[in-house]
Amino acid sequence: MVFGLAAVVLLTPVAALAAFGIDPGKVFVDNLFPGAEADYKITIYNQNDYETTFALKVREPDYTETDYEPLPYLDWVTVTPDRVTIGAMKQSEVLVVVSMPEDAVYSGKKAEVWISFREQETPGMVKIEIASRLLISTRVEEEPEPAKPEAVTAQPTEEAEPTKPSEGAVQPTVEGGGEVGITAEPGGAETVSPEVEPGFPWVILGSVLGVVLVGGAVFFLVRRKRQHA
Amino acid sequence: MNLIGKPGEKNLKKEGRAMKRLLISFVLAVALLVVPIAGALAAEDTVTVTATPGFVAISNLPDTWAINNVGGGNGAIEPGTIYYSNPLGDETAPSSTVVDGDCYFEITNTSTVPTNIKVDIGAFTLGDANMTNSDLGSASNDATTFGASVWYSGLTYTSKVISKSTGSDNLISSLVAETDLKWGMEILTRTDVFTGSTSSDATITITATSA
Repeated sequence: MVFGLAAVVLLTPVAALAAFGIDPGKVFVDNLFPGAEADYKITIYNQNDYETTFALKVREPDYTETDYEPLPYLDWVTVTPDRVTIGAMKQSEVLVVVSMPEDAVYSGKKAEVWISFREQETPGMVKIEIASRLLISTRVEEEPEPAKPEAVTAQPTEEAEPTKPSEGAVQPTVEGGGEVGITAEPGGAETVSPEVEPGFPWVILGSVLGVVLVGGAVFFLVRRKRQHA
Repeated sequence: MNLIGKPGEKNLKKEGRAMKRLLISFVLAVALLVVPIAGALAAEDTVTVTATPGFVAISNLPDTWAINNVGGGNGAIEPGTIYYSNPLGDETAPSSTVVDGDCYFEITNTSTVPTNIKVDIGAFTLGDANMTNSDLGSASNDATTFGASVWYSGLTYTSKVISKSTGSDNLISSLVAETDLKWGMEILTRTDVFTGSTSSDATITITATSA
């Protein structure tokens, strides 16, 4: 587009029809959970009669599917390569990887992100972008143990050294002592409820002992019955 | 002895059978419990990827718009004026229901699925007519900003869509597969006078996605 005070420059529309396409245009990744990874391929079709370089990037969506929100963690999605040169009337594949970090807190959510494809170095000023829509739903994870107020008041130093959340992680506020609020990842809630950990091995040991005792009793009764017979 | 022994052997055989049945029942019960639990656990730990088959492809012509120079204008622009990409007149608004003749641009749509299409326009730079997008449409400008709106053939003109610098609403939603679209844009220039005659450029970006 040319814009000026005087009609000094007149651009002639470029005759070549810049054209390309992608497939698939929409992909669903469901039941994603912390530590999980999924991947798929997108094919780019260069419909130009000349070699073309395409730039690819992961970006926020301009709008979303109903009940979906923009994915707040664009770094979970990567596309490789991020630039690809394709010959005239040829096609090429790129790989999209969706990777949810182990410590991510994003349970039971639906989110959308776009994979953008653009031609590079096109002569005109009207550019084409084609975006493949990626719709993600995450698995519903168990809620973390609620923090116990006593534990927080007993260890006031925790306020100064809260568990450092990973980048972009949701940071729920855990109320402590009725007054002090500390910020921690849900996983970090375990650190403010130490009562849970000491009892844990005893539960396993007790269960094992119970199974052994019941098994022994059954064995004894069967053997006794046989002897009677 | 034989008379006493035979019934005892029968009892032992009976008990053996009973034990066998008991064991088989136990194994079956465990299997019935374990298989669904394992299945459920496996299903929960599986990420599913579902790709909707669909080719999305568009192109657009022409790829340049010399403002005030497609409908008989001289290419010079004035502040605070609306210019249309209308071959029937650079300062002529489209018909109340936009017709093909009002449209300077055409998108060739070779998609095999319904497609959403939107149009963004960035700032004008590198000249004497620099201005940024007000993002409020072609009825809104000020000293340094312009407004822009887009429309297409068949649309009621008053339903034109605001063209923002990014994140515009769709010009058209669910455009039928393999159906082309004639469209146009209008720009309300900034209010400040232009101090020179060097032209400024802006980039129009057309974005297509699967509906």
